[in-house]
Amino acid sequence: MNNLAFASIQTLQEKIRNKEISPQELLTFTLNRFAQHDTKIHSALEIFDEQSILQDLPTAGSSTNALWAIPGLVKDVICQKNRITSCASRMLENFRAPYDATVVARLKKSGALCVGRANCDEFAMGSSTETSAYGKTANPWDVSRVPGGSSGGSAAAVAAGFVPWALGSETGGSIRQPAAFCNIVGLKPTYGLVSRYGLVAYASSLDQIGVFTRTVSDNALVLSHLAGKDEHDSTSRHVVDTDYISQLTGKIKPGLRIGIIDNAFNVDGFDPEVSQALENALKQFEKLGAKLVHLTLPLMDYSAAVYFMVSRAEAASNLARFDGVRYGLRVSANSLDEMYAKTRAAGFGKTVKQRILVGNYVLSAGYADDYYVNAKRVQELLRAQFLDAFKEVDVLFCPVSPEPAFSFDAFATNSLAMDLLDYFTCPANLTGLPALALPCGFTSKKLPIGFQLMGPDLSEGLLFATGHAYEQSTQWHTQYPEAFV
Amino acid sequence: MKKITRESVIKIAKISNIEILDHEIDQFVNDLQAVFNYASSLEDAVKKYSKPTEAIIYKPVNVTRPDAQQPYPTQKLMEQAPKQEENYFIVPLIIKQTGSL
Repeated sequence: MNNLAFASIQTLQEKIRNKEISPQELLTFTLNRFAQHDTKIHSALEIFDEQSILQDLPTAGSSTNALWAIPGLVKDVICQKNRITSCASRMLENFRAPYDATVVARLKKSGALCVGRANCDEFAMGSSTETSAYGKTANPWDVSRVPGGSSGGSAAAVAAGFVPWALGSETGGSIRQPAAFCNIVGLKPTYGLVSRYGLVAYASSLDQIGVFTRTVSDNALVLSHLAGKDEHDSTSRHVVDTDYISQLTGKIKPGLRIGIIDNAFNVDGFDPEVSQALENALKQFEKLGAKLVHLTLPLMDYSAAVYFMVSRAEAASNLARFDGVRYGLRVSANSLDEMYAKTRAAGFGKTVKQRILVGNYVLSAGYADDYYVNAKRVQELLRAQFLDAFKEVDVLFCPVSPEPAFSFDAFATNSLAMDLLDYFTCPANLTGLPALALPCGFTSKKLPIGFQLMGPDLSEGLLFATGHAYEQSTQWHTQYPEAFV
Repeated sequence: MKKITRESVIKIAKISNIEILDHEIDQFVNDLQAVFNYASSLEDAVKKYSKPTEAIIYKPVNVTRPDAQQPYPTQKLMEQAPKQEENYFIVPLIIKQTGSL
């Protein structure tokens, strides 16, 4: 097996520090991985040239930094200065970001190398990376299946051993679901923990940037370099302690109470192999000393409906800016109105158009009270219900998806059915709470299965520590897709 | 439950500034109807679970920054414009000149 390809960030750092490998050699190795293997899965929309990547590497004096010279991939809805940021849309095919997103700037400052742009669903809208205007991404575990979405390219590249970290973004589950489909770790941080400056907005009150890695400790390490207040994002939060690594003891917190959201397990169409893997994960937590508490969160059953209304309304508003006037695609026409309408018809794909239409319905007279206002009220009640649950338990255990990665076009004629998969993940976005997805097994067809832990606001340290203890007691994270080993 | 019609889809597409073709309309009617049918359960949720205390969860707060001039890369941003001249965006004529003033 190729040890470098699936090495942890910590291992790579040691090799660099011990001069077993130079930053340039590691980068060349990474670019070769993409060149040799990405034709099978199309995880990246673009891999930058070596010299331009190395320009961003701070001097060797910063080589003690834990991310120095560590390559990674950035979802193509996050701005990288002077690089194209297409949002996997024809609308922004040639748009070049005039500045670095705060997350990119912080990673570069830490010495990390952003080697390219990851494929995703168009404007991060989808659960399969099939809506990208530039072709689908395949799942490294089975290339006839989706990697999940919307951050499917980021997840696939990490799972296939191209890079040890990638950035994704979440509005309703776009990091955790692909992480679960690809046997890797994905974190949706607390709303406001990570700056959204430079993230192309989908639904601003729900959007949050997060991290994909193959292990919990790598995830904690990268997040440590991203988290914290940013003057450019008024919703970012002051956070005192962002050293998540020191909290990883390999043991769970003594007396840890894990709440099992029973209603999330009673959903129709649960794959029995997924159920079994989740049961096994719970047994493992018991072995580690956790106390399991069964509870129901009835409002979670309304969360997908809330999510559809709130996210589409905000999307309709946010995407109004793409009109062909200041940047992006323009289709020439005789009148201004015609230019707007033709530009947006040509620039947006079907899913994006559908969500904008739903959003403008939701916000229009006659609908706003029945749908948007009700959705916002239920959203508040949902958060209250989750916060109440955290009076009884420390973390919540929940499926990420009722089934493993599905085949391409499985939902081609029923987009609502695919959107309903958000049921398991969107509560974390609607409540602003952090959630960590990690691997817990495989189906008989060797398709990955994952679960998620949710915690109170800013409990990333607890989620990482709990997830890490579980991970270290299992072997799932040491398995890699054969075609890429 | 709201009924989505072809006419309402045409109207909302116009509001959304998206040109839709005749053969696309029925699909949008179906898609949108499915979403709104699903979301109609929200009314029940509000009736069933509303509590008098709910309004206190999200307290809006103002976040301000110093009112100081920020550097702005005008040139760089203008370079992205599909059509521009001397720092103005060129768009199709909006007001037509009719005769002399």
